[in-house]
Amino acid sequence: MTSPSTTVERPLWRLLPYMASRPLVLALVIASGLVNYGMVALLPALTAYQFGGLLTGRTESLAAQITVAVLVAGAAGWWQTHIGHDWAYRLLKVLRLRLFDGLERATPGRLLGRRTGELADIAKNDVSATEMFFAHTAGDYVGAVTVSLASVAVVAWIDVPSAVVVAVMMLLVAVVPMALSRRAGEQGRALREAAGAVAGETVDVVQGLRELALARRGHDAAARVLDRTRELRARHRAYARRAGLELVATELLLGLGLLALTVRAVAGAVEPRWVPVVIVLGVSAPAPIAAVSATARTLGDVRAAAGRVLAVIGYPPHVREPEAPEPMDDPLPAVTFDRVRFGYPGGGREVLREVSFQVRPGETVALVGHSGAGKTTLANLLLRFWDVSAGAVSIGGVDVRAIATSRLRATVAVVPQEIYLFHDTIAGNIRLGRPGATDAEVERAARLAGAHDFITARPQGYRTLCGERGASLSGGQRQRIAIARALLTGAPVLVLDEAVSSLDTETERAVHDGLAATRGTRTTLIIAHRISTIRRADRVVLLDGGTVVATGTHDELLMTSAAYRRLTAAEPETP
Amino acid sequence: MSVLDEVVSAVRVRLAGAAVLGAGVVVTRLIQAYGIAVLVAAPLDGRPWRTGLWGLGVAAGTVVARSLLQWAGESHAEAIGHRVTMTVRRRLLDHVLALGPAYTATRRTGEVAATLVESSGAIETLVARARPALLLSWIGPLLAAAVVAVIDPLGGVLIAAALAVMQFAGPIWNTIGRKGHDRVFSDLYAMDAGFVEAVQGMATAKSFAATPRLRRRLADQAEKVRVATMRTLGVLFTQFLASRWASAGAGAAVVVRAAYLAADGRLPAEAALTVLLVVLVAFLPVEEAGKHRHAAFAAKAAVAKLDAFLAEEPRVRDDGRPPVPLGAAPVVTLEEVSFRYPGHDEDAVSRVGLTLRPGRTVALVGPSGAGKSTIVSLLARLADPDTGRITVDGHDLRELPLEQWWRTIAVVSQDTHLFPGTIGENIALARPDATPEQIAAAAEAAGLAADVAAMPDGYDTRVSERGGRLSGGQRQRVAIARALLQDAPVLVLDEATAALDRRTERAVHAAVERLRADRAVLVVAHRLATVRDADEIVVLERGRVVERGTHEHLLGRTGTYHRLVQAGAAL
Repeated sequence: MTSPSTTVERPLWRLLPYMASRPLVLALVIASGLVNYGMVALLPALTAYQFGGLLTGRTESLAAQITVAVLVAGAAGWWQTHIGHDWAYRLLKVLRLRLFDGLERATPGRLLGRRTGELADIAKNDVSATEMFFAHTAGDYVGAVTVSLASVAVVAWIDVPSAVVVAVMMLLVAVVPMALSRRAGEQGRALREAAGAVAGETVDVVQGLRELALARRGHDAAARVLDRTRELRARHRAYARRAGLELVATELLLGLGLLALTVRAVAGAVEPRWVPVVIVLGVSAPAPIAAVSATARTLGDVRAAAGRVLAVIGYPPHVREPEAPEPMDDPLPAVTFDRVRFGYPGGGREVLREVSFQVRPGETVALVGHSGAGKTTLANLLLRFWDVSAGAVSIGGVDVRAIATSRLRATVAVVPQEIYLFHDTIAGNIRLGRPGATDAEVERAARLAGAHDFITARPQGYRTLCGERGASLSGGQRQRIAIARALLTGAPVLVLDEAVSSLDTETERAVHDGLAATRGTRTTLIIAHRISTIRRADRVVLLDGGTVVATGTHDELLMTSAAYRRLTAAEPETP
Repeated sequence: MSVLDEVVSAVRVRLAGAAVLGAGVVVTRLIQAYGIAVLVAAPLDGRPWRTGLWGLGVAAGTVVARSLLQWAGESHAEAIGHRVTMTVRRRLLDHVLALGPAYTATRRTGEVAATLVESSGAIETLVARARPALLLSWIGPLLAAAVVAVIDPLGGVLIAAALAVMQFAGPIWNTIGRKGHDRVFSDLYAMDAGFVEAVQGMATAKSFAATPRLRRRLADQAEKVRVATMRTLGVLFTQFLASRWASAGAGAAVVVRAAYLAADGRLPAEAALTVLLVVLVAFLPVEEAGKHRHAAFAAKAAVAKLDAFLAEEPRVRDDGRPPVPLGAAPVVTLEEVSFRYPGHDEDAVSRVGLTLRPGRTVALVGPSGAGKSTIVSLLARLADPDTGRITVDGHDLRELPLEQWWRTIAVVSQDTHLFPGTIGENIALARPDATPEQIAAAAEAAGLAADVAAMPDGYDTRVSERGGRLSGGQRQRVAIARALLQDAPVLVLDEATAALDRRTERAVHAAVERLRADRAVLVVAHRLATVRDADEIVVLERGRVVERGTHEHLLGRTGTYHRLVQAGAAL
């Protein structure tokens, strides 16, 4: 399987369109940065101007102006922080939903390349990490640059060479982190990837704790996680070294620049009353740039996080939505597989080579074959989780590729091998495909699936919570909820993938009776191992080596197919 | 004791080091201010500027010293961070192991794991960065205030007063906003859990065209997080407003006052200039600490979650007793065992008795939900009986060290977790020192050898999460091979062959058949074919033993077993 690229090029650049999605808000964010940084430079300059005046014998008082500047400075700081964060948190929400959409497009399949823990990590930590960018760049960058340039202009008005010194300082302070930023990005990415991998392993320890504990390997697994954490140390160190180097460079530049400026000023180039202003601007003008470049230092992490988020957002869909979908409203369609070929992308060998068979309207066909023969793959192709590489799958004579996927998934209901119950009530889980169903309809579906009795035996009945935080349900109970869920949709095509494997014989019979009661009203494809299930089908299709090797009723195949006999032979008949 | 205290005490000395380095940075700034003041004062006093040149030398020295201190501080913080992460993570993992599967099986795994992974990051930032920065935000401005006070006592007081406003505004506002913090974090956890669910349940939601609803729910959760966050931050930002007014106002007042004093000749120009330059850098450490506010904010809730998690008591305890001498093939007996899941109002198993003897196979049958899997959990000591007891060669199971018992029993369960690593490593899970030959033999016996041979790297093929591309049947056979390799005298097969096709199932059964001879075996199975050869069949219904005996014996009665068999026969 081709694993999708785990990051994208120039991720921060690609975040900009999100920021600009409401130009007026963005403009206000920038304006707030300008006012705030303006005050950061203006207030000390004003104070220094008063100071220089008093020391050189001028007594005019600027108390009123300074007081106003103090009040405005406070308010501007508040305004910038507030509006910047408000906008950032709105954007985070947008990003989270886009991430959801990306995950949806990529499911199933591409997710296999990444661990669930890693994906959850992207959703949780990486999205939050971009807050840093959204809240602290637009206003800060524009404000810092503009105000710093204005300060240089003021110094230039007093003394041009001094302004040159300040300008060079600022330039270097800005450039040094940029020069190191490529490395920062690579380091940040490597660090996050490695940390994500450790996170994934930690999730594995928790999820597999039962097996680990019984195998007495819990401490080994924990030690392994700790070792991996320790291995991260080298990367952290390298990261800290680079960050430390930047700190040193910035500190030296600012410090030595200030001294050069001071020497120039006191050596007679600047009139004494302006000396304090020049020095104060020499300290305060590069400060915003230094602050911004400090933000840029941490952008390495943010860039890496944004890269991973945007990679998921950018997952292309496995299948393309038809441009002009054909209607599909056959109440009892046939399902046809016509010379279907398929191999998982990057998976090497073809799973299906020329599979052709039909499930006629209202018929129940059992699909049998050894584990790994491609049975589940056929179900995935029918649902159009993937597209065939050659041949066609059609429902009611319409190629599934021509049916709108929402329509297709309303037509086909599936009970998969691995059942997922959401953190919701049992009733809510049964309603998954038809949220508007009445209680009576839910109950009827549950009865047909043989689930009603165990549900009502619970104190909370249909309101019992499922999912990992909910009630513990046995495999068989989960299967029956999934069957009820599929039946409730009323979809004319039903796919049961090993749907009764965890049921005891009695319950299995009850479920089959339930299905039989509505037989003929839908077209059913059953993937099964159990003879008891297979025998109930109208016909059996035997799959081997990626192709259909025999078709017929159970009894016919027992007579005609050696492969079928081998698959089922010595099946100890029920006593 | 909070985990935070534990962590802090683990890095106490290093934290003191961080404070010293930070204070050093502040001191260089103050000396630099004086150096520059000396340089600038000369022309203002009407002296030739070269007379102040020594101040330049002093200032230049401080610049170099400060760079070195910053460098040292950065790597020092990294070292603290690493130590913190290791401490927290080790503590958490130990606790997860102590709580055992009984705990993790009942909580959202995502939530548990999130607690594990994220909190250590938040605490790392808190301890390595935010704490030292906070300490310095007091030390720094107070040193500056002291310098100013030497020149102008009132000025020093003003700086200290501004510092008090800046520092105390925080705690006061935090008290007001506390409820908000908690709210933000509970909303955040709910949203994260929602995303974990979205990741895991996406395929299901998609096949039922239910993703729009899932998306709407997430959108609602995300909106809640946003609103709660902004409400809390709104309170926090108001505090910045007060801080900034205090620092800017006091700074301007002190500087202007020093200028008036100098103009009146009550202060030398050099001293007034020192005040001007010191004020410029006085509150830098407070700003610095403010940058870590985000982190401190996140860490507070993380610490609370962590402490709550660490306070959880394990339900199955290992008292650390010495191993008990057991026979090579021990006899395991359930005596009147009852168990009820927390929060349920009916026993999952009630007064169950049964005995597993070497060389005998006991089959456990009954409808879904009859308590079969619970008995397996009790046998594996993932939970302890509420009443009654389980004995091994006459010893109460609770007296055995867990390690010893888990070496004695092998369990093949319904769903099998595969770990990152190779197929071979996964088979050797319970016996990591097994030779490749032993691994291959176990795989052969479990009917897995041909499958592995078809894989690109044989036993060295890596499996990805949850078995990656292994089919359900293959995973189950890995589990069986694991148990076979473990070669334990007590073997429990919990519906172990449900996902296998007939041919493989027969192969597995043949392997199990060979094992039975000298082992005590408990088979939990739905298919009658797999239980009819058992020496004893125990029939469970609603947690109680309703029948027991051999297949023939039970068929002769018209009880539950008969009914189950009839149901099967009619199929």
